[in-house]
Amino acid sequence: MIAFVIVGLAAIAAAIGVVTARNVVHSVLWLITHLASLAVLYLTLQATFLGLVQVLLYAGAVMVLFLFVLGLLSTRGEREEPGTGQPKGQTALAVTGAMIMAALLMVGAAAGEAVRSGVLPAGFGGASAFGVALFGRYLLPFESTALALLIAVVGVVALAHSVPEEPSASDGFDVSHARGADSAVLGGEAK
Amino acid sequence: MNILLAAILKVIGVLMFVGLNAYILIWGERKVSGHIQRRIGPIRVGGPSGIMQSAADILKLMSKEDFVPSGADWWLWVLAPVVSVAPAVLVYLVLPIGRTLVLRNLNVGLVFFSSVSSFTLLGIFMAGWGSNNKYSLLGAMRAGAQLFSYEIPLILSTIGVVMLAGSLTLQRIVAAQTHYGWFIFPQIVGFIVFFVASVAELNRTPFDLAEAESELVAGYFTEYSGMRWAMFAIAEYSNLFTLSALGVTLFLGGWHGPLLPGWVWFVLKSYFLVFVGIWIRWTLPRVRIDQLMDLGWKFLFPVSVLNLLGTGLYLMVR
Repeated sequence: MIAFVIVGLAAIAAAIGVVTARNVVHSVLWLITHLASLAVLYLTLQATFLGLVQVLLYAGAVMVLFLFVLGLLSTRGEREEPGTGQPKGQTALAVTGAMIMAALLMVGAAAGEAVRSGVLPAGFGGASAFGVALFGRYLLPFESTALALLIAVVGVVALAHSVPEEPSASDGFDVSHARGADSAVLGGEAK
Repeated sequence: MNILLAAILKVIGVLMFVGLNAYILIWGERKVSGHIQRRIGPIRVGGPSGIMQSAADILKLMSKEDFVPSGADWWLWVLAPVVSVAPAVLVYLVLPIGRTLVLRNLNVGLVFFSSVSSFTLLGIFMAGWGSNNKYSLLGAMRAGAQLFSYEIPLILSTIGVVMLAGSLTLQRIVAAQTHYGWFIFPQIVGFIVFFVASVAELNRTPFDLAEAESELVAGYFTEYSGMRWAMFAIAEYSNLFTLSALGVTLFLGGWHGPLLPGWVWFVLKSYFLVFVGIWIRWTLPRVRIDQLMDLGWKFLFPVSVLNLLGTGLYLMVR
């Protein structure tokens, strides 16, 4: 319980850091701290496998890509000042976000009730229980999420390649993103 | 209270081993590289075969000026060595050293290993970004591309073993090798992918593009000196040992072996793989970045997927 509160506070503090940090890279690092704290929260809730996968996928792989993109952006346009104009629609966004948050909290509280009322089943949070739930009961949501992500990836590729770039830097589609990114950095630094 | 005391003792034990391991490997790397290049390596600094060379190194590193580059992102720069050492120390938690000797027998030990070691890259990136140096940033970018590309075949190659053993617990994977024999024989493809990918994960030649000294000075730790630099070195040699130990656990029968006690076999086999790693480093030249990416994505990745398919087919028809 004490660990839960401490890590929860750390997660909240890191989340505040994400939005208040002036430097984009700091913001991403706060986000990693936040995701890692969430992983520890999963561990305190006995969801061992989920916690470790959270670290592996979010704090590890996804965040690396994130840092990559940011690093590339900032080597190109470091001098760019943040926009001074007041963006619109903040209130509407804040209200929507708060409502989604409240809904999630209610769902979470209801789900937490079920856990608190009974003893956890044997093997709860382990890899096999997790796999059975994911590929059994939750197969449809799982696969549709995968499809949605695939669509997003295809969309990103289509958008990124719609603008013709200078012919020397790009080798076409067959190279990996990582390599393309690296040669872009080299090109940017060389001049 | 006893649990706390035991935990503290375990942590001290692991930290002492990490230090000792770095001490031996830095000296060992010098000796092995010397003999490979038909030199004799360090001999003058005390003891047989210059074994005190690393002690002299430590003294030199401790007496260096603590220097922060101007314009550095202070917090990131200072935290980066710590962030690289932490995962290197944490992975000892699940290594099955002997039949009953493991610090914590997690039921998802392998997932723990890979998820914790993925944080190494974070330390590298913080160092590269925080140094305010274009060579550091380029090194960190290369390391990012490389570790990200090779982590996938590395994890996929371990899954073949997991499928045969039917468990993610490292102790059970070792125990399953009494039944199958060492997993290197049924999983020889997996072992090759694992070994190549782990050399790349460790940023060692022929995959040391992240710190290629002829191009990038020293890559992401160009601006570090003294004990801060030493922490990167300690993390690197600790990772060299732990990845070799993981290879031994998954493919070379872990603590299995005749006559000697299990932990001796475990350490001997791990240091054998470490020796092969050093041998490769001083034998092969560095690859180009496009060759590196081609090898990772066009060869190791499909081969490891095919290996998984083959293992699955075997388990189906068996």
